[in-house]
Amino acid sequence: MLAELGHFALLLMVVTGIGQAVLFSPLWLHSSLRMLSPQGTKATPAGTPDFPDDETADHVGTVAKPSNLYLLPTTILLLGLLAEAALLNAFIVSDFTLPIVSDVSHSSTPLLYRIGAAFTPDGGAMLLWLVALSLINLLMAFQLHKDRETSDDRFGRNALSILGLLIAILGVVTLIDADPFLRASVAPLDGRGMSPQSQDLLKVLREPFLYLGLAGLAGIFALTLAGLLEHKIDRQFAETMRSWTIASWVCLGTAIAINAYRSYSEQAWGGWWYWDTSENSLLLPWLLTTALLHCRAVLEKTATLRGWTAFLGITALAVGWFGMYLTRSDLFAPLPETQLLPSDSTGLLIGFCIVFGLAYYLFWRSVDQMGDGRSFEVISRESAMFLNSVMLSLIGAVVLIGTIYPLVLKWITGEPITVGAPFYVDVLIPIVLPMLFLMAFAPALRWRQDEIWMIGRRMKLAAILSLITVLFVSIRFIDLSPAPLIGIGLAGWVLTASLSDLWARLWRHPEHGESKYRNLQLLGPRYVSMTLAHIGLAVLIAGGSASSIWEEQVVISARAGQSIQAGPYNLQYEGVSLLAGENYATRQATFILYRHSLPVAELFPEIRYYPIRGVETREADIWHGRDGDLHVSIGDRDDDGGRVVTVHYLPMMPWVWGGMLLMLIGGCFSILTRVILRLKKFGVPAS
Amino acid sequence: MRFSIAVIPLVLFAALAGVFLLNIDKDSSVVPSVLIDKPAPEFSLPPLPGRDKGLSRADLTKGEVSVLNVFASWCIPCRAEHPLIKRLSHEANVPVYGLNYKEKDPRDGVKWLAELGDPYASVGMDLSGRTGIDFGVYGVPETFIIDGNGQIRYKHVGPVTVEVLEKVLLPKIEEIKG
Repeated sequence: MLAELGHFALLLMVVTGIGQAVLFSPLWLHSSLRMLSPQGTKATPAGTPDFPDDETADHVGTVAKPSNLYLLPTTILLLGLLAEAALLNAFIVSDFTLPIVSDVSHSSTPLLYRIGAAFTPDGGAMLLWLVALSLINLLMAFQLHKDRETSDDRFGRNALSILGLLIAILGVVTLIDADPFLRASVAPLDGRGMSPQSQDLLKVLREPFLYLGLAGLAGIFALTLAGLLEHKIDRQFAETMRSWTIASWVCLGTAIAINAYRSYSEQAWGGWWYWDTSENSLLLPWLLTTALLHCRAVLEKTATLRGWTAFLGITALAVGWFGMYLTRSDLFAPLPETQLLPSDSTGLLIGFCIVFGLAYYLFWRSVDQMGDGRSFEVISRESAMFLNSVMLSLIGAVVLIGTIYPLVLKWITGEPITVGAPFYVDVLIPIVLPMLFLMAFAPALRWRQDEIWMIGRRMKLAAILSLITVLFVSIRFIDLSPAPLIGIGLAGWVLTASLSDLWARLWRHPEHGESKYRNLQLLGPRYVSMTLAHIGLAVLIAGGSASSIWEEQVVISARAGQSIQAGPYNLQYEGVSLLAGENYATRQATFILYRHSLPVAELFPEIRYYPIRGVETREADIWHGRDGDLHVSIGDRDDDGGRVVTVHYLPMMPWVWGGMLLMLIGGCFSILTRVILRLKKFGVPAS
Repeated sequence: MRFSIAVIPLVLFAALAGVFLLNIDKDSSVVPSVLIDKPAPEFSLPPLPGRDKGLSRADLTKGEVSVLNVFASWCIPCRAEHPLIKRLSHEANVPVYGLNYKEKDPRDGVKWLAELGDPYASVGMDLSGRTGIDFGVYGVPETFIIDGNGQIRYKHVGPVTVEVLEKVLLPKIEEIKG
């Protein structure tokens, strides 16, 4: 019964979404008609309302009232929550009459993972995306109402109308492709069990971040299209976009970091990035959001790069949606043959084509008329940031090509090939290294125009320090391949440049009568979060390069009592014991970890057997030391009665995680300060 | 119309969308089992209690197309598909063999067939589930189509429905018969 209620709520969501799309903006239809008709395009100067006061104007009048403004978005969100609650309930009580539940869950699965299982099948994932989207929809109504109260708010209503349309389209796609609320004609006694890889706390945590990030991109997309329709890609537009870009960036970044840590802790070979389709489809929107983050700042400051910002605003969602399609379709990984719930991703593809075909068409027609504002000098902060965002997009293009190339080749020649890490490393290094080199300049450059010799003076300390780093590392380890060395050198370059810039700002001579904290205040939250993120990236790159250089791997067949040397650590293998988990049996090995012959920890890598699916998984155990990680996993027993043990010593690996964390903290800091400012500005009821 | 750089995204997008739309049906979502076009595994199963004929690989290699249906008395979807298995054995004109999978009590299968009718040419009893594992049985019911040389040609997982029977299984059998 609850499932039928959820089904109905989902249907109503589509209807209200269409309602919002139409009601909020009859003007939207007008503007697009104007865009689409070739004669009309030149007739109206940017942004001037030239519509006759026909009955559509009455509609606008009623909808513009604040109470009405929130009505539809709130309804959609409540409906979405109801549908999600119905689905979660079905998973919690293990209602196997729903094929979506019996496909991926089982009565013996622990509660937390049953809840997580609600987000893994196609229907559940789409529903989560819809709910996140309706949350964004309401937040955006709130923001646009507050921000644009005084100015004309056709822009805001257009944005909301586009979001309503997106909700409706995705709702229809969900219902057509993989309706989560279909009942089975015959209910199985129990579910087919959840894939053990999904029975993981981090995996459960990843999904909300991923879909919130994608929904945030949809918000950006709606704002961009509204801006294009109204010819208002301007500084105020950039200001409105700010929170959305940073919030999406943080959410997607969190999802990526979780994903990387999961690969690291699940697999035996100690890597954390595999360039597989699901990872790439996370990375792509994140890269474009990063690019957008930078050129949005340029737009806000100098009102240039309008076309480029609009392009990125559309494309970030485009690659996110396309990535969703790639991972949800059977193009790469065959769907499990035992799935009871028929699921298909054709709707997702067709929706993609319709939405972005229109969006890029509008982009073309309106950017032509918009022009690109003022120009800027070659040596200026905006040109450095523009170059960086172009390079980030190039990286995105390489990742996209690497992802779909094998597929397209297979369609053309029928030959299956795989594109792996070597391709990405070879192609990306020539882009990433210059990008890092340029990245250090941007904070030190002035807006509009700057002089080369001035930069030289500001950057000399950083240049000297990073050269010393490179020299030291390359003399000390002369036989190494150059790429990771250059990586370390450039990471040092970015790090020292960020720090010396911060230093210079902090030690500025205070003018007469200023408090001594004035310099700190002048930095501003934006500068702080940018510096945190840049330092984070430098730390991440340094850690990644270093651990790839100095990694040590030992694979041996160990017997109880044997000791294994890896880096500064010594591992003593104690043996394997059989234990029972909640829904699995496990062979757990015990290792005692010594550092300089002092015991520091016990490590317990496992091989788990999940009887429901009949699948074994390996769980590595990791010791995070100060100077590096020790990563242990066990394999099968070999013929002589020993057990295969794989030990990785990965020096500076904590830098990788610390770097990711710093970048995310930088983003969160920016959001937090902004939320606090906003609360102050609009005055939360003080009493 | 004047050429403009802003048209490039649209063109690239159209190219990408076109390639994917054209190939939408190329990779069908029906994934062949690893056993497809492989010989059926070697097995020899005892008969149900009170019957004299069991089931072994030799039954599947007699030179005619046959169907192997995995069922169990504890499996509710099997009960639902059973009338269609009867229809299948009637309409396809091929022997339908039964694999009685993991019964708790050997007599359960006999009772079940006595109650619902027995469309099977012969039934093998797989109490341990060993043969099921060799066939890659994942969940009951499953239905295999096997050609005259004992090669597995098609596998259907889950209950057979009217649609599956008419649109998939019967045409497939005709096709393999050749």
